[in-house]
Amino acid sequence: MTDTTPTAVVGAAAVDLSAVEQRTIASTGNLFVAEAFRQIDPDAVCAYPITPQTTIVEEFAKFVANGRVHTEYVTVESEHSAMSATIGASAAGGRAFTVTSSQGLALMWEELHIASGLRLPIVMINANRAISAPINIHGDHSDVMGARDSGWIILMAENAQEAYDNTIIATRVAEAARLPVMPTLDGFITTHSIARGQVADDATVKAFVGEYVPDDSLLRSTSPVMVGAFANLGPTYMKVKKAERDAIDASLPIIGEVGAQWASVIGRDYGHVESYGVDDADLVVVIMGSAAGNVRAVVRRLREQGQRVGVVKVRTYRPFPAADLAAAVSGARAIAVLDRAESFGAPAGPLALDTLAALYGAGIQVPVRSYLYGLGGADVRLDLVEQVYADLADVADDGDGLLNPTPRYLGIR
Amino acid sequence: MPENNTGVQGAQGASGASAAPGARPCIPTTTIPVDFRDATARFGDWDVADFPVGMAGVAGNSVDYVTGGWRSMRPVWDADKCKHCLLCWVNCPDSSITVADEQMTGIDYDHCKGCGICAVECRFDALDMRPEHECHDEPVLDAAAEPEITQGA
Amino acid sequence: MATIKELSRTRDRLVGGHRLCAGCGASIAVRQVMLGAGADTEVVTACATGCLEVSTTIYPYSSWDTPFIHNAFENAAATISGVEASFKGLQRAGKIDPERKLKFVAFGGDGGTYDIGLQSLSGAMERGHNIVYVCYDNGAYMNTGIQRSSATPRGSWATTSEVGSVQPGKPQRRKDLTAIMAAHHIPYAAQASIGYWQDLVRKAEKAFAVEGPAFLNVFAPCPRGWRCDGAQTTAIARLAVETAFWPVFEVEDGVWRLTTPARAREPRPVAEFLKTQGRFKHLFRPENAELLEEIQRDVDEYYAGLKRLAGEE
Repeated sequence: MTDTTPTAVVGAAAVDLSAVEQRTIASTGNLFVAEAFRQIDPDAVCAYPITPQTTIVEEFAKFVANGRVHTEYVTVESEHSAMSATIGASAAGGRAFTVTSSQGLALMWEELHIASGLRLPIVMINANRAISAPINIHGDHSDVMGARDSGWIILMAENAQEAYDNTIIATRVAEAARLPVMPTLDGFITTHSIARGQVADDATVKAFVGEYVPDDSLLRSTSPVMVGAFANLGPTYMKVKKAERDAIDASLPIIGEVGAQWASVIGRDYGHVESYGVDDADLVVVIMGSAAGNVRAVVRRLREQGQRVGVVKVRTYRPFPAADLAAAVSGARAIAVLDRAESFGAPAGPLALDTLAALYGAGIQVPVRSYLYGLGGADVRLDLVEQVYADLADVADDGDGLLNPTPRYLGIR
Repeated sequence: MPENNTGVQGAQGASGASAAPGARPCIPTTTIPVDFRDATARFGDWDVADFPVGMAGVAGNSVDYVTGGWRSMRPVWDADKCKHCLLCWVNCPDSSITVADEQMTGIDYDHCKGCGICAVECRFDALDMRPEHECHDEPVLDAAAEPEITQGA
Repeated sequence: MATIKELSRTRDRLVGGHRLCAGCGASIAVRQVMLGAGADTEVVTACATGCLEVSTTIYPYSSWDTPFIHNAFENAAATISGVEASFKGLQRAGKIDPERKLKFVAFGGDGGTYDIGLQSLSGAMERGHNIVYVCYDNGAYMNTGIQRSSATPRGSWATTSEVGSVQPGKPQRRKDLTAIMAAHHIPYAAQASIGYWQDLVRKAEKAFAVEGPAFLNVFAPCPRGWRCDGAQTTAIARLAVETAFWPVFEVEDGVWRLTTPARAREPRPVAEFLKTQGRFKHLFRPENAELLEEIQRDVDEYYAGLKRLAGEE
């Protein structure tokens, strides 16, 4: 009666490598994602529009209207119903996808926990956007941080290409790990900017994601199943949650494995973390999402001036790749973690808290600085990033305590 | 061997067509063991690994759970007076009027809670509510056997 | 409609061993509604959080002899609409036999339907899913301790609409949810009572036969919450119809039709219904005489309005 182990279920993808074709297109991040949806062709999409994800659901509606997908498309009346219906669709045994952002993600919060507690392989794209109040429709990570404890696997894309690749990877990861997966992309910056990227041919994507073979679906014609029972008083709830913890921990190698398989198909590596310039770096910035590119630009500039600086971009956020991150920053003498969301009342931003735990677990004790940047789509100017490295230089030499108590807001006085 | 249990056609035939080497078979599987109903008897001893994924369960197995002990009154059926109108059957909250071949056959005392609706609805005086303890050979509660209630730890 | 004898050949889709109270109206409602699905029909069930759900799915036991899903409190309709959507998608993908017929039914109490569940129900009905939604209306949030809902009748005691020196129970009239559902222009909406099983089962048969959304609002007394005798559950549900407190009617493709049983054609005073339950006992104090009259007037006006809609003047 045990949960199947990761290596047993992540078999090789049935892709004919000799027939893979990729073409380069210029499109918005949202349309890259919509294209991935079309190629995967899920059985059900139950979704509600919200800026800045709207062009995904709109583009998908065109696919539906033109018969380019077989998907049953349900235009629900709220995001809470979007996830409710998606849960029903997934429990029924179909491949069920949805899309949301910000207030919508917040509205479906109880359903996120239900999706993961029921161990449903749902894929939901989140367009990362600021959470009210005040209301702001631009990109930051405050919405996704509200979901970080929900048991969902969370993948953070830096750009349109990663958003496309992550969506395809997520499909197989969800079904192998029996956990829902949330590939994300930054609002407006990635969702709406036009970028160049490669899309694979339809047959390759279809072969890669394969057929969904559900366990215990509602629609199977024998041995009817009960989903969502009441875990009465006693240790039942805690035992089931332990199983969920085991599952999400076990999903890290699954993500790596599926990512590596996709890499062998399309030639773009997947790493839980991606490092740039860290091999000899004294000063390292840790960051997620689109602004990683800004930091890389600054790293190149400072390196030309002889500074030993680097950046680590976290791509798999949940489960948190603690060992990989610790290994990437192991040589640093000071680390700055840049968060695009707050954890109000906590000693540091959310990514910084995860990083600190990873460092502590690996016995790495160097000064760490927590920064808040780009909230509500605020500009991530390169001079602000340079200031971070300058701060780190001070801290590494003089040492201002391991963790300065207050996260610093970049560019705001 | 997991059953092909979606009534599935085409690509997901029992032969598992389209599966690449090492890929999951295309036959739907289950994480609910065949001995689930037996296993419920020792549910308190289940380990984490004993739970089907997502705490999935089966259908209709509450029949294995006895609620008859709730009764303080019991419907007693007079088969001679019964006209098999089945009004008691259609109004029973606990599915405890047993019927076969369109005739009432009795009462499921494992699940009857003694609500008394059947006796009220019966128009032929074929159901009579009697105190539960009068319906056993010995009293159900023996005052001498009651544990003494003590205060404190 | 099948005869009771024919119906008795249908195996129970709600089986014994659940933990609902002795005399619970909700379980009777479910058993009778499920008879309307027919003996050979495959039914998939969803249920909102509430008495019915918690009492029938205490793990590892299920009282549902169907595939079953519980999601949360307010979203049984959205959840079952997702199941139905997946069914259609899977048929289109060739993974489910195109000839296979399934019926999708969701149950919710008045809490999960009139109030917190209204949006999700409205959305599902508007979208035209092929589903049956059944509300078992016991007039309060019973599972959490008898708090008022928008289905709680005017003047009723509830733990959040208390009876005290300045307030005699719930001030507001109850919402007419069946009319709200009919306003969605769904093929079938009906109000029924477990006190008249034949009328209920006939309506359930129609609801399950419909292609598209169907809604059933079923009067289901709660002996615990209403402070009445559990043996009288069916009788009280009958009295509700016979006093026009709970008229039984259907709206089929926009045509309103009263299905009042012969015994109820001349409604008896609503006080006969009210006095059977402790939740109304304060209405019989002299200081509440006027409120009692207003309640009778509400009942009369509503019934007269229904007759007009049904063309029965």
